[in-house]
Amino acid sequence: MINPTPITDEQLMALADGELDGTERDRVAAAVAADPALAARLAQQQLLRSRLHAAFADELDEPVPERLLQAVAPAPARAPVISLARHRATVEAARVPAAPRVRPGWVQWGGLAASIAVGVLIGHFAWPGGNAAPDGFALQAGHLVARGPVRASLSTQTAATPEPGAAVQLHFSFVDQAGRYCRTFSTGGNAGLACREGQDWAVQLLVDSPTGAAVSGGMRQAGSALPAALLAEVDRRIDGPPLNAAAEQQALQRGWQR
Amino acid sequence: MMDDETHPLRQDIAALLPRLRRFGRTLTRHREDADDLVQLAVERALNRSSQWQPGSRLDSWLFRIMQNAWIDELRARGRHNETFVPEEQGLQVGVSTHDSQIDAIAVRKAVARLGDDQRAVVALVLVEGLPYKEAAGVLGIPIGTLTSRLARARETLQGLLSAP
Repeated sequence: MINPTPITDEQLMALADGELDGTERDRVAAAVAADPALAARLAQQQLLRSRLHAAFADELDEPVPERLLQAVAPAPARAPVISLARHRATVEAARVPAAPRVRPGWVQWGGLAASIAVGVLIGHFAWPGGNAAPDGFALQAGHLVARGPVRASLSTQTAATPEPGAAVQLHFSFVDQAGRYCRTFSTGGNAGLACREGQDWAVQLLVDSPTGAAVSGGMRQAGSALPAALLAEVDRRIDGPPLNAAAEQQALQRGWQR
Repeated sequence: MMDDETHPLRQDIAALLPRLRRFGRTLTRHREDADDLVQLAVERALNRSSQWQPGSRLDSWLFRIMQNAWIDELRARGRHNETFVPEEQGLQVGVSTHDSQIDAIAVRKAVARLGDDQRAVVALVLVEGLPYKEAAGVLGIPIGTLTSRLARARETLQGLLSAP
């Protein structure tokens, strides 16, 4: 039998890297199985691979800085032509000048600022391991949904019957371009937008609201200020004017299903 | 509908940000440089979004943009392709230990000492897990060059990381 070509380190590396195919893989694997010295060399390669993998694995869990999230964020769409009623509603709710260049606000809670992928705009979250959703929300199949008091308020409160001092304040409701009921709300220093998905309220956006809660009724309340970024997002999604009190009541009675 | 055409691409790039940052850090050896590089690459990628072929590997495309941007940056800084970094004071890299955290530090330091070319192949193949063919494409080199560069890098790392 002809002396087989010696197995090189590069071949062992390629085997360890999963880069060998078919007959060459079989040949090298058979040689390793037959030769303890080769097996030891292969084990060395595999050990280095696993040390390298382990040494860099944790870096993936680091929170992504906001400036990088903003780099991937889409520019807001041009504001659609809006009705006078909707314009009045947004102006009264905001009382901030229209921001010339609005970037959507980013989720901030506790030390998890900017850990969230840009998918927050459509309710998808890439959640780093071990971090819990804030109170009143839960992660479900990669989506942030409202739970507990936030969910209860979204489902059962109308803006027409505000509860001052309540943990969750509802602002205005509307129907989005996908045909879903959506509601804006404030809770715990955040202001947000949630839309009805089946039996859940899927959070589309949650932003810092430095003016705090203390807003109710949304449409007619003076002195309330929803973040411009939230309103810009509403403007992108809204289909028609915000719901008036009667329409809201009707939506509630229908379980916010359309 | 409501979003511009690049929206799905933006989502996919967003999901890759942690890996891009990790690659950037190995490439540049500096956290701020790494994030600057990622930001630049993301902006370039979005500007050139029509050049990306759906179905091809998005991570490879982004790594390539980063690699090329970094080469440009090195040239702008007047740095030439750096070779092996001599041992610095402080932690000896020849530490072999069962403590995985200390081992991780030693491994990362060893990788940082590699020359630019070797560091890039280690980052792409052994850290980011790219197949040889993809990694060669990112660097614009033949596969044979990649594998020999990779082999030399691993030999160097084995030497640095073996117990004294």
